[in-house]
Amino acid sequence: MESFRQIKNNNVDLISNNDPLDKNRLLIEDLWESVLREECPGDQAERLIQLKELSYSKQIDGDSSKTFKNEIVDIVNSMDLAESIAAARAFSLYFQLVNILEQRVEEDRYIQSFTNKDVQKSPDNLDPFAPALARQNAPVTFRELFYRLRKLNVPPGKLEELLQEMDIRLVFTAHPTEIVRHTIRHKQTRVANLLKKIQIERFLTKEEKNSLKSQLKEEVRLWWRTDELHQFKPSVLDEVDYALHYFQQVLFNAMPQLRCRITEALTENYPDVQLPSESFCNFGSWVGSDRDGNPSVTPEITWRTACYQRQLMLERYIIATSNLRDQLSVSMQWSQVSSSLLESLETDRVKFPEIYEARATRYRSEPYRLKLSYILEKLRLTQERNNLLADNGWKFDLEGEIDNKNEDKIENLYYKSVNEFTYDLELIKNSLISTDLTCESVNTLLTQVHIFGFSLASLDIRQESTRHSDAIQELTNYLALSVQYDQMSEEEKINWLIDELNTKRPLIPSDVNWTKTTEETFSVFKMVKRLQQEFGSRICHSYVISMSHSASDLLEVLLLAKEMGLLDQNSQKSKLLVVPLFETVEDLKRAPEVMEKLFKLDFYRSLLPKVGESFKPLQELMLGYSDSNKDSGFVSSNWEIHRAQIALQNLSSRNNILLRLFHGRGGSVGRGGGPAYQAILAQPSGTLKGRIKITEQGEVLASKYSLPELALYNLETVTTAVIQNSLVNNRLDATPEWNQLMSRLAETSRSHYRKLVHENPDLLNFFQEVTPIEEISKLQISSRPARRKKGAKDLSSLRAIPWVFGWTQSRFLLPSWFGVGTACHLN
Amino acid sequence: MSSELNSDPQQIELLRVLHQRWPFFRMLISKVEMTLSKVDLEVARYYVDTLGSKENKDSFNDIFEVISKEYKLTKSLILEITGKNKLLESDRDLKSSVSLRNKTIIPLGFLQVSLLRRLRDQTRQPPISEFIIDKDESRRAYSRSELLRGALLTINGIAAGMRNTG
Repeated sequence: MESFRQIKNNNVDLISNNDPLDKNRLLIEDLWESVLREECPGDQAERLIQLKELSYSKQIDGDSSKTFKNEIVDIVNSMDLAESIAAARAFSLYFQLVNILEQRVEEDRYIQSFTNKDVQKSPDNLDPFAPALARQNAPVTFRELFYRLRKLNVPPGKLEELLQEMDIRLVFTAHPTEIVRHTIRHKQTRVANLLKKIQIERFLTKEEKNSLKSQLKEEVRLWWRTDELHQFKPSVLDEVDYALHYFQQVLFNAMPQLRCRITEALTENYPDVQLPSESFCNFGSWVGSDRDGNPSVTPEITWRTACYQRQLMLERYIIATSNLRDQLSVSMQWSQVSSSLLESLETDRVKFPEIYEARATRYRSEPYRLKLSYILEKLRLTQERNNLLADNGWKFDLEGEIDNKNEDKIENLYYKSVNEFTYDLELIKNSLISTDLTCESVNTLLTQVHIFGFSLASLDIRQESTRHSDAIQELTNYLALSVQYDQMSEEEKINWLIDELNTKRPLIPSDVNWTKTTEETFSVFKMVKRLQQEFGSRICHSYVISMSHSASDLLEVLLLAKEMGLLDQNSQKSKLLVVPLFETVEDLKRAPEVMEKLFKLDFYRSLLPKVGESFKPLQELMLGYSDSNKDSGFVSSNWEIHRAQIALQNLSSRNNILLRLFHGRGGSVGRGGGPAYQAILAQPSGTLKGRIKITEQGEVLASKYSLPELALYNLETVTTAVIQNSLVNNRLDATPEWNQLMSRLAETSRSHYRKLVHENPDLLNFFQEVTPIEEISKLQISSRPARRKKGAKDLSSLRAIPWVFGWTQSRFLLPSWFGVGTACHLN
Repeated sequence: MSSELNSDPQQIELLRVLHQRWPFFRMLISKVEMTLSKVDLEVARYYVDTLGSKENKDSFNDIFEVISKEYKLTKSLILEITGKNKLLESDRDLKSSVSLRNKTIIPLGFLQVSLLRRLRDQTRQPPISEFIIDKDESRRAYSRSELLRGALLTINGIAAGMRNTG
């Protein structure tokens, strides 16, 4: 500890005494050291502590770094495996503690920004001469933003229009390193909570503080003796469980709070503006539905994921409903209730005579409790049905089975859609309102139901484009068409696909033994149809085509959808939203041309869903940061995405189509990562219009969503950034001189990057030998293989995550910067 | 630095304007700045020296030189564009966090190299039994699964230390 304190004193620039982070860091250092001292054999602890001290005192850019480094290398090389493992665990633990601490401090800062009543005195005060909204690039709260908008005289009508259209979707995805055991995650939460208690020290006696400290130590010692790794390869369902952890622990409760905050801030500054829809911010998930190169994601897995998600929701709703039943003890002796509620009780009585028998006496004059008993029964029946669905799999014909058994009870009485549940809750809410009562818990529950429904998060299917063309090729081969699909030109393909889309006769014969791959490609569509029948379309209606290159890629998916009954030809409605993912620089450049071809087809336009008050067709479109970065480097990838967005927005406006851009960002900078609010504020002006869909990658979930206030902070700043960017109407993105310069920079940086990465024949060997990539591929840390093709050792088949990950481990971090210098340097 | 590298002063001036005024460009530069601050070419060099095979020594050195040259160039230009003396100068909290992590993470990198090397040596010369005696130091050599486990622990440790890394 001594040397840390010494360095602290010597390094005033680095650390100031008032920094809350620093004070707490000392706490963490002490904790870490004392745990090692008690847990490590012999003088191992001292050696490890010394090793950390030695690394800490390494001076950046100093001459002495060489000797420090050599010393560290010597120590490390002299360790036997047991000590190496102890060291790896000790340093790992250290960083996890630091991460928890930093999350805590960030959370505190956010809480303080609330209690600070003086919005006006915020440091980034208004500059009346600057295009204020465009210049502002720090995260803001709702209160600050609405205050600022009012001061800038943004008309209420304009704000209201935007808020009504607002639709923010955060899509959770899996990441190989984040399959932390629940056991460890719970320990982390406990440590965070204990830290929080210690940090509010002024309310603690000395004894209380000591007791908290010893609890903290106790917790970390237990952690040290816990296996941090799974002893088996995680399955897809393990990954699902991991991603859903944040919903269970944090998001269910955070979302109603987010709504409260926007409501209060709006009332304060724009009292007449109508609130955005309840689900203005909602969630999707790829875990369990994104197949693209992951053979373990089968239709059965997606089905079970959906059932699992519904099971979690039903459990939550059952708890909330019974709590409501405790609370809403209003008696007809003392209060009126609405007549529609009373009428509904009559209907329920006929349907659920047993419930009536059991409850009527007790709740005779307590209509809310009686109503909630019926609701509970319906939820329970829904749960029963969900269990049947989960146990029997997606191919099982439940209706047939139930008809045989003549058990029509479950069939009729469970909630067939979440709307029925909402309707019941609204009855209660309206009855309360009509008798001049309110109940916060009812509103909270309703908000949750609006956002999460019975499905929790929408599952997006993702599949690579070649899977569909391969399947169609096999089909045309089987049908012995005069021209095989793979022999057709793009124009011929389009024409053939449209013809087939417009015919009513089925194209795919049944009872054919397709290859396993094709069978699975078809099955996904059949399973989605079953999902929608059973769960409503909300559970799964987007189909993302990765590596999209051409218009036929989209039409192929539509044709398969039609064949499996996901396209209603009479009403010209598609039950599937086909979303192209453009993810190489070439494809990003081509994207507007591809989409224009499709928008010109009346048939295609008519299949797009109509949304909003304007009832305009909506196209969702995904931009991939990872592969474009791997393919062309950082500047080129970001610039092409920026340009594609502007071109696609212009194209959509010309065609009177609304656009929802789906940003496939990774957590690391080399895959589009960085603070979300910053990324949103940097979007070209005019492309958002309140609508955005973004991936939240597995590796950043913990840092964003593990603590409630932190989660709210992220959700709030993402929302304010969307509002802010949508209201800005600057012409900065259209400055010709800047655009020309950027195009040059992108080109130079791309060719410099490609010269090293794709044209230097030794680079692949270099990457394989000097990074842990091969070990990452072998280690069983993810359900998804590191390479798209089995056994291939070329760069193109390597997925973007291991590419960036490997370079990061060996501290090159090359994908996120290589080429930038040369580009900025050369004219 | 800039005169030595002969960057075009007019272009630099324009890039500085872009950085001040254009949110897109500011975001771009700030991300590069953040990543550069996490690069440690000394540690990277150690991966190359220790894990690179002998027959590739020359070509690997060439690649490392290209990377190192580009790193220096990029860093100096980022500083010129942002008008700062050090990376992350304008974000004190981030700077202090990154600097703590950059230092403390070093042993994990060296540990990883040492484990990878032992692991790969074993792969090249398949051991007769799971446990063999290391001739030089007569200490126990370890099974592949143990070494892999150790490597995985360093991988997770570095990921935790670097945050948002893959």
